[in-house]
Amino acid sequence: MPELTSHTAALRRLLAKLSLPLSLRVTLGAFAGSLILGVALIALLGFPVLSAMRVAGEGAFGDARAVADTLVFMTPRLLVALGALIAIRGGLFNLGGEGQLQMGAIGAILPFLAFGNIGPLLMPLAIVSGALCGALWGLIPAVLKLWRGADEIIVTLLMNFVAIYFVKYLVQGPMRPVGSTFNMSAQLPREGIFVPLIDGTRLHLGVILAVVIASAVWVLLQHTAFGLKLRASGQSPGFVRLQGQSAGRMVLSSMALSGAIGGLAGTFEVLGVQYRLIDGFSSGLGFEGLAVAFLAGLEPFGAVIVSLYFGAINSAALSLQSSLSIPAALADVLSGLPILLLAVISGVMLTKGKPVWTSTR
Amino acid sequence: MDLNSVTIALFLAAGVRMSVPVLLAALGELVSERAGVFTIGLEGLMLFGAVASAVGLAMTGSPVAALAIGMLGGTLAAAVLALGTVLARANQIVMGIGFNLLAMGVTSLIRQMVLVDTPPTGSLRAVTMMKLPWLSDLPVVGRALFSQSPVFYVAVLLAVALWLMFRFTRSGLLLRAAGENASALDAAGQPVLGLRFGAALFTGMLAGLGGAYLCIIASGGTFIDDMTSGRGYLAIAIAIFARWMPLRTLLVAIALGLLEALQFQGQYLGIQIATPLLMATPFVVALVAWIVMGRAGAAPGDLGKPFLRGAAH
Repeated sequence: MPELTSHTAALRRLLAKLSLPLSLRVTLGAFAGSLILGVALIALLGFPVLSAMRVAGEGAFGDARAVADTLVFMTPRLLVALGALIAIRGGLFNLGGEGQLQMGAIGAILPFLAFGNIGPLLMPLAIVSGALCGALWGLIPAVLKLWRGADEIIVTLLMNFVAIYFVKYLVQGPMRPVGSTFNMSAQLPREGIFVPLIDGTRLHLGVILAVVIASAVWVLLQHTAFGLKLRASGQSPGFVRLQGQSAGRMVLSSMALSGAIGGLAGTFEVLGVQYRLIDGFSSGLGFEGLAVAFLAGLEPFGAVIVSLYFGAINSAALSLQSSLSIPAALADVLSGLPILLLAVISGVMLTKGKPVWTSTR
Repeated sequence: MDLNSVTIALFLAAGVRMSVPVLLAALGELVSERAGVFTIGLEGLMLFGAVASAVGLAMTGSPVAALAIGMLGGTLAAAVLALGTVLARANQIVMGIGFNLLAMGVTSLIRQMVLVDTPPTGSLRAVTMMKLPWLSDLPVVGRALFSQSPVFYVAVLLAVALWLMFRFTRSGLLLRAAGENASALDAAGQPVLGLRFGAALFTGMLAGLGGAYLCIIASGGTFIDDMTSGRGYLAIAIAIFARWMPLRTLLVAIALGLLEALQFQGQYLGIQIATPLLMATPFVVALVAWIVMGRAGAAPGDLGKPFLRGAAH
């Protein structure tokens, strides 16, 4: 019965299309596992599990304010992840998201400090300046790699701390308003910030811009010649050289772009959340962004979903702290766990000859 | 400005004192890197050592026991990390980044849940200062090098011992082989994973002691969230910059410690630089050193590669 076999073959093809790819199944497993561990941890610490889960759910998605908080927490992590994944897809392990974010925050406040309140021009100028600062900071490891062969992993990691201390220096000295005793710069005027889009929530323009940037990164990677070259240089640098393309130009442009997007993460924190440059505004956002990028399998839309999860975890943690006094450090635990589980599962699959990721990217 | 020998001796002593945690962690890192395991989770291991020592101090009241518990905490944390990076062949960089995030959360949770109302009491003198007989009476170096915490002397002895081990012993050779060419070592019938796991545990022990030093000796027994503030990453850079050589690591770590000490003693030496900038200098200097060094020297051949039997190199 040839007709039946062709039917079953079609059915099998359809099922194969519908069934989740291995990488997605593994990632979902890692998230489920970490949530179970998180709940177990809450129980272990002697907190009421059921009410904790209810509070967490309401804290992350309960009302407009909760959803807005989740989205606001999502934004910097998503942007750092987008920056990181561009570089890593191009074969460069840019672990400098934290530093690029810090520099982007400096860039956001610079136009105001330089020109004062110049009206509606201030905000776009701050965005450009923040992206530029991040891009320049991202270019340093690229230049060092090309010029001196310095390994970008170590250089970007070290530069994170240079940037963190540089921000500390700026807000304790040069950028601190005369007479102030707080470690922060002057506040941006209302014309220069992302005003809350919905009254009573913290939702700001940066959230929307971040998702737009995610789409742009996807288009760039999948539908442009630049993206093709970038992915090719990540998967097979030798092939790119054989094609007569300059590997150096690729290193520079991908790191500049990566740094610019990482910088925007800091810029949007200043324009949309803090309204000023302030010491310690990022508690490891850059590293969380890296975890997001890896968990998303280095896919831009995956990063949107994973960073949404991270945002929800963080706004849930705040509710848990305020209503049940469960320490908000739980958010860090729940952010670290999935990536650990994913790395372990991927490693085990590798030893079994079933790599989760088909490429080495 | 009076630049007398006491000022210089105090400055040198402070520099040596600041260098100890980073030195210990860097010595640990170079052992695991020589065995082929890139421990990005060093920062997290130090944090676990620090919080374990704070708990140990609260429980036992003995600073010596606290340091030992810190080492144990670092070792246990390293066992978890190595379960992933060595045995499960997880990507060492991804695993390390995740581990550091987790460590920030878990150590902060431990501080808030376990250490809530236990301010450190009792004298820490037993671990903060040990004057070596007659060496400590020497001018300048007596105060700088021979009136330090016993942990510093242990670190120096360790550096020498590691140098001897890598140079002259069979176990040193085996460890290096696990990092240079794991497949060849495996073909020779040696347990690659066992060697790497052991090296990773040793890294955890030293990083744990480094964290415990930060907590017990440098901050009087109080654990502060994220108190390592990048020292783990700095230690990784030092280990690599010192080309995985223990004695060179010792010198580099002390040199960077001196830079950090400028924040306390700088004004007496006539150097006025804002504290955050001084805190950044070890990182900047490590970066500049990288630039100067460039491509020179070769890393262990299998560094960062999970060992897979039969995988092509």
